Amino acid sequence: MASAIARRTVLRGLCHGGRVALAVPLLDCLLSSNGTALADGRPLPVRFGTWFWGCGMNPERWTPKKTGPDYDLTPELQPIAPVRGKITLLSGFNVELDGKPNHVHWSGNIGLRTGAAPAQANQNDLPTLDVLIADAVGTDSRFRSLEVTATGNPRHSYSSRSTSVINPSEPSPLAFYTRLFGPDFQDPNGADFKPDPKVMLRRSVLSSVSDDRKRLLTEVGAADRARLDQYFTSVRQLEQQLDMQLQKPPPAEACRVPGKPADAPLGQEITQVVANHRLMTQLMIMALACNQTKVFNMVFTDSASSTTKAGTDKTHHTLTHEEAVDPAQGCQPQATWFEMQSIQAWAEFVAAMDAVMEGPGTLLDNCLVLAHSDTSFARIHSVVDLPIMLAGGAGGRVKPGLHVAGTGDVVSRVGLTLQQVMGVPVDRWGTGKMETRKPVGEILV
Amino acid sequence: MRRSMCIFTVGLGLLATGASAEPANAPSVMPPAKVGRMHGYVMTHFYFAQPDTDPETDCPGGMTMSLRDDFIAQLPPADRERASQVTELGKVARMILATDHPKSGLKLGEWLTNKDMYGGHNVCDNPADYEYTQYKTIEHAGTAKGLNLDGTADGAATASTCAHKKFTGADGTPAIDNQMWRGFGCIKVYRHDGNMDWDSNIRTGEWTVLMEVSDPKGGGPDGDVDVAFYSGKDPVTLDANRHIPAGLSLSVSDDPRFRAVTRGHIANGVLTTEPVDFTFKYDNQIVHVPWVFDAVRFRLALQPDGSIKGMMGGYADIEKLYNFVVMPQSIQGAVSNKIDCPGLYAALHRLADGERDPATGTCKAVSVAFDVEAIPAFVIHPSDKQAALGGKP
Amino acid sequence: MSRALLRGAAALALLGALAGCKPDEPANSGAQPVVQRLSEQQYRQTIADIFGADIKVTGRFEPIVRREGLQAVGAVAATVTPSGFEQFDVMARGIAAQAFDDAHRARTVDCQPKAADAPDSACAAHVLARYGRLLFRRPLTDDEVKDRVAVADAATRSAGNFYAGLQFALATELEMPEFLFRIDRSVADPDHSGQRRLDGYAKASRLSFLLWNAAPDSELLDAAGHGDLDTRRGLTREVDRLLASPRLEEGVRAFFSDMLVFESFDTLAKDPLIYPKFSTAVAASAQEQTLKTVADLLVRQNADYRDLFVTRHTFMNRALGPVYYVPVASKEGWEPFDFPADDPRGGLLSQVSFTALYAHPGQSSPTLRGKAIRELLLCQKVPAPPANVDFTVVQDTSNPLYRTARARLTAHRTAPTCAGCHKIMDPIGLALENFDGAGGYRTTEAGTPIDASGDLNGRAFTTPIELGHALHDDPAATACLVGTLYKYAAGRAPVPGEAAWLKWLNDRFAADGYRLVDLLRTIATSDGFYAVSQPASASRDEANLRHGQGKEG
Repeated sequence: MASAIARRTVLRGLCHGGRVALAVPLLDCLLSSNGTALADGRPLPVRFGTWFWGCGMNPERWTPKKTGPDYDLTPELQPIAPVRGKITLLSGFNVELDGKPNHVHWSGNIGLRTGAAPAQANQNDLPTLDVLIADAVGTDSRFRSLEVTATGNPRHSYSSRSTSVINPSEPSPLAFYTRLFGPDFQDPNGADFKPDPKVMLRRSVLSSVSDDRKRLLTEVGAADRARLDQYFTSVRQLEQQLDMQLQKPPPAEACRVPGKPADAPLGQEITQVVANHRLMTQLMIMALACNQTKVFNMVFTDSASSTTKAGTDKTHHTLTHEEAVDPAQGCQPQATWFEMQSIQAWAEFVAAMDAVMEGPGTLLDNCLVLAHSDTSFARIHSVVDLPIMLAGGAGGRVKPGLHVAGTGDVVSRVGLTLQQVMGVPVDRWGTGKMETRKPVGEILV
Repeated sequence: MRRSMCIFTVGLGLLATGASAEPANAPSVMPPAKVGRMHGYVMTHFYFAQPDTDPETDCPGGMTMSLRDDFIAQLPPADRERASQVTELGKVARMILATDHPKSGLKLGEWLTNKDMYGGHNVCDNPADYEYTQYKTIEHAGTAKGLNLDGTADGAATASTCAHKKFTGADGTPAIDNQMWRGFGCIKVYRHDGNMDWDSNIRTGEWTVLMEVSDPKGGGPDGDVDVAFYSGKDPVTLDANRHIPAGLSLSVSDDPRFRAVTRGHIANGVLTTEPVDFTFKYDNQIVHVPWVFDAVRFRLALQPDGSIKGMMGGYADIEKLYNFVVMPQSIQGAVSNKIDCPGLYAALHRLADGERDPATGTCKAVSVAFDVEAIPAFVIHPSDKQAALGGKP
Repeated sequence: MSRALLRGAAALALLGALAGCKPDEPANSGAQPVVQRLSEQQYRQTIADIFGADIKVTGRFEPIVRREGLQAVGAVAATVTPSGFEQFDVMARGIAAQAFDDAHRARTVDCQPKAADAPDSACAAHVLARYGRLLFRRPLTDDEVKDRVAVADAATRSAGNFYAGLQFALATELEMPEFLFRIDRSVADPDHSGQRRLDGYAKASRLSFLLWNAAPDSELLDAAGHGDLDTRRGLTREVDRLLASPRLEEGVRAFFSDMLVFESFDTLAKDPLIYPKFSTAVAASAQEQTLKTVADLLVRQNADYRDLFVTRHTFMNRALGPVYYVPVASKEGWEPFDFPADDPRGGLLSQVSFTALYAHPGQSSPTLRGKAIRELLLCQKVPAPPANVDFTVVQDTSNPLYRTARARLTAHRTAPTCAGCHKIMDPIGLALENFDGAGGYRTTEAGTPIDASGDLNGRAFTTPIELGHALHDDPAATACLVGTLYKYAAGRAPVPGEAAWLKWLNDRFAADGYRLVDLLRTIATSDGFYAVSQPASASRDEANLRHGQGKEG
């Protein structure tokens, strides 16, 4: 599959021209003449990601009045001003509880991600949409998906197949670096490639483990069969990763291996969260540019936002419930401060993705990132009018920079649209009242 | 002491005042830490007691010269110009290394050779061997801090003390003895706005000083008390903000040299103690020089938050004082901190006002004053197998 | 069915008479056998037991989601995700590499290969079968040994080194589900016709993980292999051996760590400006203090479980000294400590591991503490709050009427929509308001003296230790321990067919003076603990069972 193009040969050859980034060298020569595909004809990969912050926003200060392009930047959207042309805002989409209770800091998040309100708190029976997308597009990259959190707690992950199969988040930037760029990393732009015999040995170890599957599954009950089958699926995924290590990876123009991050303290004090988010952003961006994965999930703060600020005795979450509204500002000042930290971090993330040149545009142009929260107005745990933003152009498949008003439609329309854009063969999505066949056409090209 | 250029801000105090609004749950009072009948404390601050005066008022002739400048001043005029242009630290040392001292004839390079701190014959190790020229001291009889140690009103000589000038406190307290301040007060780094910070050495465990005070006899708030001071065996542990928390358990040193037992009296919330000799243990990786003070007495005010704050006054033998304050700096420290070793040494001898030798009439000690702060800590003796459970929290 | 039961009961009584100790144990329908993932602690302990404590296990264990309030039950639902398996692969390769490196192979390889650079199937089989038995917690079948040897031989040929071959083969054993999951196997129960029970090796696992939180040692596996665990005498002998061992403490610690949700300490943080004394050292010491208290009281002293709520005896180290504000003589390590008779503190609820865990980063929380006491110690469920609850009115700390948490929560307990649930939690939690959010004792809050009075189901108290006494006297506390321990041991919530059996367990616990060790013995030597329901037609058999029981009265 990989074309063995030696870097030196390419450089000596004709270049078609195009922008060359200052920060990262771009080998446009590897692109076809219209700049949207690799020289061997394969299109540039389109990546999908989610970015999560907890405890929502204040609807009256969030939602723009104008729909379409050039929407007005409301007070709470100010931080995205530098990248607003690449961000689409979706408002007015709801989770329909369909008779189930509103499980605080859960129903909104899971409803958006799985297309159905969960029956129990802290449980979900359906896979989240990033898992469905990864199943469709993630099988030919080293990692099917990558999950990280800036909160220091690996339990903060909203990527799962079910309650018992939750993809844990990596909380440590250093450990994330080691996992991505440590001993098992194959530099796609590396000149020489020799398959490592140790990797072949490891591969055979894993086949020996996989061989056990048939026999074992006959020995256990039905419920356990599914869990053990998941186990063997995980084994198979590592086998596929090793298979990839035995082949020369295709070159990745924007890939530049980052330096090892320092071992920073992990925690939920806001300065730690912001610092770790910056480190994770840099690593994740290079993971994407180096084609280590096509699907990622980033958690900035968890869904009940236990984020704190040094010297104040209340967490963000507690403030959303206990802080009085300041009539002059029209919001709860301290709680809103935490929210603005989240939107600021999101804007930085988007800008960082937009700073990496890839193809005729940027890495962001080849991505589609869903940013959302678990609730709109956190004080009442509202799952109506959830705050949702999409960043990136999905390789030209979506129009960025719009405000689309959902006018009370089910939020599963958004999940359906995202899956369709990413190539999941699905024409309807969601369960019960959340079932829909209608994507958000306004954003489609 | 550090010979580095670390800059620490003067402590913000033990309690968190960083937040704009005091959080409702922050503790504001440190309860007493009693073991048996003794209230325990650990020192958190110990430094030259000094007034908030201007350097210009204290040292009208300017601050002390550095070793470099002192040396240059002694060179023949022709060489002075050339030498003045060299300012970089390493070059200064090398420059001095290459030249002979005009008066003593010794290769000045040997001054600054730092052979194992005390192995080389450098100027700070042998201050008596070298001349000083323009060392600056505080000569006025104005404001300073300290206690009246010799009991006189005017500093006239007594059987055990030598004649000297006295200071007045900022609050008007008369007849203060603090000859050490005269000698050190024109060295910039030792003043309040300098960069010496001995408290960091408490926090790192290089020295720990513990104190015990009994309940006043008679049961009331005032009365006679027993007081004891010890060097601690253990370093303190720091809290999340790198302050020393109240309520630590700290063991006293096994070495009997490092303890002092005396009596005192509490009246209106102020504890005063009778004179006692006290040696503090000091240990860092390279220096193990005890701090020796003679006939010290304390004047400590019990604060509403449970801490104590006040002063220690007494005498320090000059040789020993020089050993534990100046010597550990090493020659590089002295050069960078502008401590003119021979000048300081000679000045202290000139200023000496205590421990008079009846035969010669000269004094060998200077009066000293140090600011002291301490917070409650459980002072543990080797005999406390399982510590006595001191009362309710 | 009922006659079979009678036969079974008679047989049981006979056996009990023979052993001379077993009062009437009611039937237990059992449930499906479970498949339970090893916890991090169990994984590490197993490796240390088998290969030595100096073998490093480096990797991250993906978290287990609690079910029924326990990690042990969560482990029954847990699987391994791709990134979780990546980590197990890293760990397995690391362990295997160390196990057969120069430093260790003298101890770990007790046969001599014919050549150091060529395969030796016999020696490989010997080593891999030996470790396989300990890792899988049962002997390997011939086919399984053959498969492992095939991996070893192939790897040896590829790497040119016999020990490298062993290494890769051992890595496969460490990555197989038979190691990472406890897979209970069942057989027909000869003593209770129509029922099934766990096979000998599954019994050995259950026993060993319950009592030692570790995989069965070789002696226990031998006993299982000989069928000893299926006889009353053999089972009792092994149970007594495990209970007499110092390793019992580990098992008890593991249980209480799970019951008291100690893994929350991994991510517990307090605001350093508000609670500067709180640190990771304090958090670690707090857990250890509680576990030492539990081990000392319930294992070494073999005391009444309820004393845990009122005991004044605990342990202290210098990290905790400033938090409790007490003197600690020992410079290093722990020393026994007794709160004086007139100290209002005492019992589990006064310990930092409880008060700091159930509080906010910058505040205490009567509600969190009350909820924890209800749910963890009394096994009483507290309903979730309504989604649209509005706290702003009651949480205005600048309001002079609402200076203390008590005053603020009074509004909780009087507003009709809130009162229903808060009446269950707040009055209990308010008794602990003398403990701030990091476990430190205080007598005032924002300048106002703290009033620590409250009540538990009508029983009033004014100090934390009085609250402890109220818990001591509440029958729900001991029933909760029995129920939680059984869930922990079995890896699941009890099924309806176990109701009578659980009642019997509770009665035995009371008769034994509420001693935990006796409770463990009762469970470990019972038939019910190893009972397993029929897989396919279980529901029909269960119905017959119930019908039969009803007939017999």
